[in-house]
Amino acid sequence: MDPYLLIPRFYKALFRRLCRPDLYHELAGDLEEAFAENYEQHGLNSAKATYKKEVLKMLRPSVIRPFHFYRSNNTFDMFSNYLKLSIRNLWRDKEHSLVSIIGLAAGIIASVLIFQYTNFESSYDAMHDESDGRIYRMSRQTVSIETGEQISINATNFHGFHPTVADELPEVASSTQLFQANGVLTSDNTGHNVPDTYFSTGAFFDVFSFPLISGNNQDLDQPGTVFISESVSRRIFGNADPMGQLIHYNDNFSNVDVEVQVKGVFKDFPDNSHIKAEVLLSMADLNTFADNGWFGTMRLNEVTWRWVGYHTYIKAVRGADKKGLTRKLNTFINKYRAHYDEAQGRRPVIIPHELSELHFAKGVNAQLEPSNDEGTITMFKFIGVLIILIAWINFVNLATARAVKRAKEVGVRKALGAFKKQLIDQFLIETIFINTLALLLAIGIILIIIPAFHQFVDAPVFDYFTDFLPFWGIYLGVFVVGALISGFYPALVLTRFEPIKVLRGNFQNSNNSIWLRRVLMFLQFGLVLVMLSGILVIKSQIGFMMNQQMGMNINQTLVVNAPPTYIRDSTYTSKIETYRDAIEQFPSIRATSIAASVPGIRNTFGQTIYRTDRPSNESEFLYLNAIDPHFLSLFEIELIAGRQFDESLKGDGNVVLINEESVRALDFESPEDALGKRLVYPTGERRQIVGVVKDFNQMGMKFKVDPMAMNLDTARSSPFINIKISATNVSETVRQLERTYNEFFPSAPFDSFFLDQTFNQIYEEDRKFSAILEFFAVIAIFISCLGIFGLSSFLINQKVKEVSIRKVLGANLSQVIRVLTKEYVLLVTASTLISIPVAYLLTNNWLDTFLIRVNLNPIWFLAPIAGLVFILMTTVGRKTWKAVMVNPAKTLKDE
Amino acid sequence: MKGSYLGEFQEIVMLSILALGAEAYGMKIQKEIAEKSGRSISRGALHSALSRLEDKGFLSSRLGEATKVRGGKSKKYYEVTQRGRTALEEAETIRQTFHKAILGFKLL
Repeated sequence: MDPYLLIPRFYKALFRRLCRPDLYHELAGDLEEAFAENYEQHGLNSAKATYKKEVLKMLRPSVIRPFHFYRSNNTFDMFSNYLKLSIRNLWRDKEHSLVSIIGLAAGIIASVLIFQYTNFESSYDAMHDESDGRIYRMSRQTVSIETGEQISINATNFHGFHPTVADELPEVASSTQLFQANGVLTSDNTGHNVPDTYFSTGAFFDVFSFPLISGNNQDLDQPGTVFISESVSRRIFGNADPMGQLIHYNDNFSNVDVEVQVKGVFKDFPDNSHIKAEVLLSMADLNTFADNGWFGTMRLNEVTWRWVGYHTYIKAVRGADKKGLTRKLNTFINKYRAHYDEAQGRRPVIIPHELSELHFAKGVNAQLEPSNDEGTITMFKFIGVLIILIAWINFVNLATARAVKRAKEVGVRKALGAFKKQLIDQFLIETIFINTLALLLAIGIILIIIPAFHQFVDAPVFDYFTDFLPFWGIYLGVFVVGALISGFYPALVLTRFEPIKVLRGNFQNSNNSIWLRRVLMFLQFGLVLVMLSGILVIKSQIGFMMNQQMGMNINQTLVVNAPPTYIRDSTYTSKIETYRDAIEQFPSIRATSIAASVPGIRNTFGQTIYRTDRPSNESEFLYLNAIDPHFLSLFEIELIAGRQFDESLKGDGNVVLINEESVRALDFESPEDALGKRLVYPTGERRQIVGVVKDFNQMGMKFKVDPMAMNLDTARSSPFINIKISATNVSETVRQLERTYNEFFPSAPFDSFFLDQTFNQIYEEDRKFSAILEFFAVIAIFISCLGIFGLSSFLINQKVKEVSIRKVLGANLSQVIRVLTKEYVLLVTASTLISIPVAYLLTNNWLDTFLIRVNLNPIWFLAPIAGLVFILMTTVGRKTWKAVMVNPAKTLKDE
Repeated sequence: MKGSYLGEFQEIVMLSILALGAEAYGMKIQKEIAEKSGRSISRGALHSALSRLEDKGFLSSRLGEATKVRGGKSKKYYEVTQRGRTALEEAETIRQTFHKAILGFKLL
């Protein structure tokens, strides 16, 4: 085909239209000749791309033809004149221009940041292809059979669910399960802690659309297989090919040590996925471990419908109806569970959670990632809209207030024969010009602060939604429409002026626009008040929670992870005891204790337990912990009845301590009543209660206290070594501990953390929420202040003559000030009356979502008023003072 | 002499026109520069340089024949004028003076 016909048509026409006619032959000819040559040498696509680039680079002043045809009427001249005037006006009134541009830019920045953040939060788990059937997580609600009341909702399901569900229900196309692994990966004698390690099945990659880079997903069903993410592969193997490499997996809680082969590599899961697995081990291996001694003498098939902890997902067939599916799933699970349910007095109800619901699911325990509150996100969206609205309202307000200054210009233009349309054009161009400057400034600042914002919200929100459409296109569209609308109103106001009145000199703004302005000011005052109250309340609540008495003392407590099980042999118990004795010799160590679970880390281990003197269906789910005798004294947990463990008593391996909540849950009359009673465990073993401890908050004040039982860990097999250290020379102490640890356990990684830091992470969500809210509230307040400042300076300027006349006629200072500030005092009073009840309702509702909450303090509602008055004093006060102090002769001389 | 200043890029353009001789028109010059200096420049950038050089009187041009591959549009051939050659030589002299100065300095 003749290459000439393949040239991109649009670009060819564009160039023809824009190029100066006397250059056209030379330049277009050269471009087309170059195209033909590129086409032969590099192919069509490359030639096209080069041609397009060349045409675009050709659009320079020396090549583009002058716009002669516009000159036929004088629109173009007027247009450039308007632009010139805009620049001059902008320059003349710098204060006003700066206030307008900064206010608009701040509004644009804040709303873009908010919407990127909320878009990210709303985009969770949307990356999976659900066109051939919806994906559901099998959440498990526990309901009391007697009352029908909900006891809890859990994200995990029974072991037996996944292997049978797809065979029994035709609506289920495929299913998979995830079980959290807790262990160390070792390759070449180097241990790697990978927190997000799970056991799963090959169908994981059928249900979810996570892409595999290499390997076949069915291999994951073979024992001895591991799939790893790209970044884990880089961390362990560097740039070498991971496929076929061998890794050891050593479980932290059991003596499992298995060699697995890398048979698959997957792309890292995106940040907006609730599953963030980095290593997937084969479920077949887990089943083998569990079948061989994890449940004492019981085999896996005996506990398959009792063992929970499996995050179970199904993919339904296309068009399956959710209601029918829910019913069938519940019939299905009932068939297997009925036998146990009766004995325990409670039954599971399957709730299929759609993927899109997971990130906002409320009150679900043991989720892979804590969910966010949908109301919070909606509130952020609302604030985002509010901020950009305030910014535009301010802009309109300022522009109309300033219209007075331009009234004479409009009058003269009208008298000289300007049409209304021309005047609207002029002022529209001016406002669009200001809007464009603000937009450019905003884009520049956003580009600069993206990394800081990512760190701030702890999510790379700008790395997603980078497409121009729908995201950036929508933003741009909204801002352009906003610019037009906010430009149109001032233009209309200005062009309404009647030349006669304006030019005669006694000109006043119409009543309408004064009222509009008052309402807008009133709203802004109210908003500032509500936002300030909100910030105070949120800060107090978080501080309150962090300073609550938790029933224990976690200060200065370092937790060292005990060596992984693969280095534990028959000498381990004595070895860990010598290590403990060795470090206790350090002067900086005040106490040590070995335990299976520590505060701040969710205890996932628990069993259904009942009293020997009660029927088995009055059972309770008790969380279990294994501790040594020093645990209570190290954490300063109070013993309220009975006695501590005593290692010298041989029988203490079979006794148990419970907390007050267990006393209530198991229906003992008092802590003393519980002493000496026996409990039955699901494995059949019986333990005698010897002591009751005061309740302490395992997970901080955000969660309620769970019933809990503690037994004595005589084998020292627990994974956490708690070490209480003195406050001085902390880093030296930690280094010392590490050195000693490495001497005792040379091949184990030293891994430690401070408990109070872990605890702070529990409040991290709230702290983040409060910080983000605060940030945007400050921007909103800032924009409002700019608006108040800009507006008040114009209003006061208008009144300068009135003030001068009053002074001449003998008014004293306070009378004059009253004239200037009366409006503000009234507005502040009105908005205070409205906004305090609003702030009260909003904050009270928010506080009610917490288990423990602060009582509302009047200061939180009065201080913002003081803040607002302060803002007004600094913005309005300065201008007022200037107006009052001015010499009347100066302002009245030309009257 | 005002207006006789030669930019580095302009110098390369003039040299490539001299090298091409009678075949010096837009696309050929662009290609010649790409091959000899290894930098790819856009036709638009070349146009700016050519028109400025022509304004300074260092280049002259004439319209040439039209070919099919150009969609029937004529070529424009460029030639370096006597003034252009003088300017080139001057630039070269100035540069050599500097080079010598630098080399001489280094020898000390």
